Amino acid sequence: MSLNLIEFNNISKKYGSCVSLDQVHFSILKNQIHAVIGENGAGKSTLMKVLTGIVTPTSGAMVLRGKAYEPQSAQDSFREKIGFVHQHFQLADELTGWDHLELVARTQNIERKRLLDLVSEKEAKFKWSLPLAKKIKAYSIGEQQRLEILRVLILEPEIIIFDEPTAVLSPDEIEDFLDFMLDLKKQGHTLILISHKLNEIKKVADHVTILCRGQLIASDSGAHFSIEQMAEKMIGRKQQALVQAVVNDAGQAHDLNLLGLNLKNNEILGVAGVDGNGQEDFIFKLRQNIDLLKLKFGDISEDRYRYSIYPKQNLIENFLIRHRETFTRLGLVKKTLVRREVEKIITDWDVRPAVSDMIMGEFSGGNQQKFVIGRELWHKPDVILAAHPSRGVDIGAQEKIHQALLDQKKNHRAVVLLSSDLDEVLKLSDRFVILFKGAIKGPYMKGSLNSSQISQIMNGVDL
Amino acid sequence: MKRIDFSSLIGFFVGVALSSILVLLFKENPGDVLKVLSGSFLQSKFDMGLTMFYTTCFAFAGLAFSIPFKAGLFHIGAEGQIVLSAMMAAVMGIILPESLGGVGIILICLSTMVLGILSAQAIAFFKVYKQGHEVVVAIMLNFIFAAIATYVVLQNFQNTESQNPESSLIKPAFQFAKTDSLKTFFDNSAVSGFLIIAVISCLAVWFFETKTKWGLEIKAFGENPTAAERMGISAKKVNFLALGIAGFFSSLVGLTEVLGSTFQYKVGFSPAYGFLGIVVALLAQGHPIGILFSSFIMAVLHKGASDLDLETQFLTRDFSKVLQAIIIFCVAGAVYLNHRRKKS
Amino acid sequence: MSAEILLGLVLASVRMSLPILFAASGGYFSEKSGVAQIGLEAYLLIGAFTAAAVSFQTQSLVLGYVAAALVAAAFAQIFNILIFKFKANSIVVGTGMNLLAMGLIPIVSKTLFESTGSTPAIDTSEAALNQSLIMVSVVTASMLAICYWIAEKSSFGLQIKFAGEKSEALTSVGVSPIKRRWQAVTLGALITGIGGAILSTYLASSYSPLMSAGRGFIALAAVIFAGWNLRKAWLVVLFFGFAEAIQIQLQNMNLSVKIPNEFIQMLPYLATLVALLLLRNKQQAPKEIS
Repeated sequence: MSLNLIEFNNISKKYGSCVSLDQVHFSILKNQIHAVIGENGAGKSTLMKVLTGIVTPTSGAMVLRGKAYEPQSAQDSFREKIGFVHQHFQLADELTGWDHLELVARTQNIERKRLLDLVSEKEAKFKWSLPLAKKIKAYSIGEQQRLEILRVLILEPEIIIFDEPTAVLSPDEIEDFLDFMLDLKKQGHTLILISHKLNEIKKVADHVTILCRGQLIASDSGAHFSIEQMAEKMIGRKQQALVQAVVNDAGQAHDLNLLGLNLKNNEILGVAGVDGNGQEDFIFKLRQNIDLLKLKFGDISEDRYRYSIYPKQNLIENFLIRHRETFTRLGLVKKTLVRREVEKIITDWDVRPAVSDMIMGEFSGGNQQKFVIGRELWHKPDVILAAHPSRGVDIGAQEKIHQALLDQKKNHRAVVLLSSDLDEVLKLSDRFVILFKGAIKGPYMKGSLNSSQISQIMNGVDL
Repeated sequence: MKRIDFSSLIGFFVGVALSSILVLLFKENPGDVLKVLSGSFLQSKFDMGLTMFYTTCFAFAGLAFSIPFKAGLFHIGAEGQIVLSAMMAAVMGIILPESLGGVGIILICLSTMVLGILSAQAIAFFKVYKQGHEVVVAIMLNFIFAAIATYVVLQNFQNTESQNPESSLIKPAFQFAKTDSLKTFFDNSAVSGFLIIAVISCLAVWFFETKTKWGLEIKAFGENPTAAERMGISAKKVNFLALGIAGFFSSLVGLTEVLGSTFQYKVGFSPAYGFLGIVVALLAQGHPIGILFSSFIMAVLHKGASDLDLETQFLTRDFSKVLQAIIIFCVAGAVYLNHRRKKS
Repeated sequence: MSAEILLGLVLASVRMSLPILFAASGGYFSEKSGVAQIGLEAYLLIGAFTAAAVSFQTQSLVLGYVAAALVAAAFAQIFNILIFKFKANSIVVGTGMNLLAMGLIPIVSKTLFESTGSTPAIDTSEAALNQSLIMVSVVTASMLAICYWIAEKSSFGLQIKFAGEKSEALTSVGVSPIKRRWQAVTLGALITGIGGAILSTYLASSYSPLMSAGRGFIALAAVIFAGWNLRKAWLVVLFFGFAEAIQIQLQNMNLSVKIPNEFIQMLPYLATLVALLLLRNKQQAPKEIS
């Protein structure tokens, strides 16, 4: 069929014994918005890396505009007018916006004058004005994303891949972004949208392809699926309902005054807000406050690699360093006692492989997170911070983590759940606050606001 | 329980093999060269004693590098600390009255150790309070300490009976090592009881790193400082502690030289112990018990190298440096290959 | 102080700092691309020895410089292979490189000249010295211009910065960060090798053992001290050379109050520490440096 812009013919990709893509076969039509959806680890990103030449498939072939297409590097995909807007911004904090544009322009032989023209043309078209002479560290998240997109647009690609583009945006910005996508489509671009936000997909996608564990589950026009159907196909089964903990109020309930929020010791307080609205500062002040009150603290941090783990040390040492005061007598640590506790966490949380001597870095992200949560709940803390607790873990682990957080309530512990995933906050918390430019709005009772009200607050409108 | 890592050993033998090939290029017999290098210390009890003395100094210097390295600090300041503390030991040994006897020896040791610790913590001071990079500060301090030591010794304590730049001898009452049974056994060689202290130190550091809270904190901080700080480990404490311990071991090199061997301060006494300590620690991959062995290997090479000038036509004593370099390369490469093998 | 003395001081400080200037420029490229470089001492020594040996053998200073640059760059390939192919730690290997250079040179020297220490002296007639001065001036001026152009104007320089700050950004435009780092290290060794040539053929007339005397480390210190900024690093080197020139000047002057030589010699190092104490040091190390 001549309308097929891209065809994936039985693409497989194996890493050692791990199958990331298994005989994936579908095609993308010209001038459509084509959504590729699936859970973490379903193979979406790998498929896009195959398309852009960053990864070579183990077997299978691609056809682009009716011709065989075998990209060897990202260069080849540029030549074929394919642009990729990455989920994790590939921007260097210490370099300026112009540096980033020039890097692209110079590697693709775009002359300086042409670059200037292109930039002003695109900025005018989308009514953007980016501080291009400034270093990236001065950019807001939204500006960073616009720069990422601009970097791709100056190559004038026919096909643009967006990888989870709305993850960092507020609901209103998301609306704008979806309009922007439709705009691009109108101008003749073909868009590939990778996402797991089904309502957004429902709004814009002409065609939906669903992947699960590396396999193609379905590929059909967007009108064909309801949101519920997409969800079910994506997960491969029906989602389990969470069991609400039965809280026994017998005399133990009391309030903790943290950051001026009266936090009950049997509730989950959600903290919603778009990334970059003072989350770091909020967490910092919360920790300070907890320290001051000498409360026991369970710290499921916002960035596992930065704040929670030591990749080159084994699980025992990773546990020990966190709870070192408990296991120290006269400056000496007692490792034998620790091993038993670590093995208990491994069994309770189903950490795989169940080897306490293995170094942290050799575990998968999901297993690392499960271990960290087990470790942070081990000492029966008074207050638990759970920042993005299920980021980067598979759906099974996510359910387990959510259930564990709910279970904390009946043990009379207070949980502060901070997440950029609004659905996660609304699903679990009893009350929630919203962060906007460093200010704390709320708290609001669960169910007291509708989604458009929440969206307005997230954008700074005072209701 | 602990997996034994043989990669260092494999790297070592590959390194020796490669060096032998290099020797062939210079038209020498690798067998002979290796025999000279490794056999030199067996020639006499005196030679053995000298090798043991080098082992002592290398082990202390190795520890002085490896502990800050675990805390994420590249400590190249040991050289300056060694020179400064040797000066302190000599000066104290000269000015303290003989009548103090054993108390005097303790005073010498304490003052030297305190100066060693403080001189290393100067690096921590710049790092913690002025965000100075430890490499920059240590390089500058190395030059400054060497100048101070030379000035103090030559201007005030020059040995009047000698043409060489060196201090006079410390008081005879403080030359206790002369009757050291280790020293007498090795025909009054440079070795002394400090060898035993070095062995104990390596064991103690191993214990410190694996069994104590502070040891774990240093290791954790070195691997992931942001996580360590979040878990309540203070950067200030780790920097001052790790460098303080390093300075302590640097001062032991100074003491080994002055109290254990020459009983005076000789300008230029150190064959760059501070830098050789880096090699020792890297060869052992930072393992304190490994440092004991690698310092012995290095000592044997160091001793054997001095005979190369005489015994071969083209090779010089510097060949031991080539050997060390190649062994370091092979060990560093073997660690990676071993790691990759384990993964796949 | 008379203008003449001042001019003399400035010239002397530039002269003194030349090898460090080259080593710092070389070190800058390697560090900026994300590769910690403590092997500068090795490249200086290799360059110094090669230049002295080749100049002596061929009676050509130009060949000496070219050989110094090439041999130092070739020598750096050992470092590159270990770092990039065997993923060895760059600090460990850098230490080894310094040892290797210190060990190899005397052996090669003994084989070539039957002397473990110095190479034979090169021509030191007035004509030769003049030629050497012209050579150094031209080479230094071109080095500064070329380094500045590469670092601030060229695509290569921009890509090196990205290799050190955010290598995925390079990968996403189809450029291999490893390749750029490899090239940056090689370029750095090449430049540093020329610094070595100046050391043995201009500041001296032959190679003598360990003549770099820690200049490689000081160059590294200058790069770090300058916050990984090329032009600032040059200024730091000049400042250091200036302190060294004053030091020599002080030693030669008959002052009424006798300052001990040791303290005068300390001056450059002390000045650096005082600067550290007084300045606000917000060093921005390349994010991916290792």
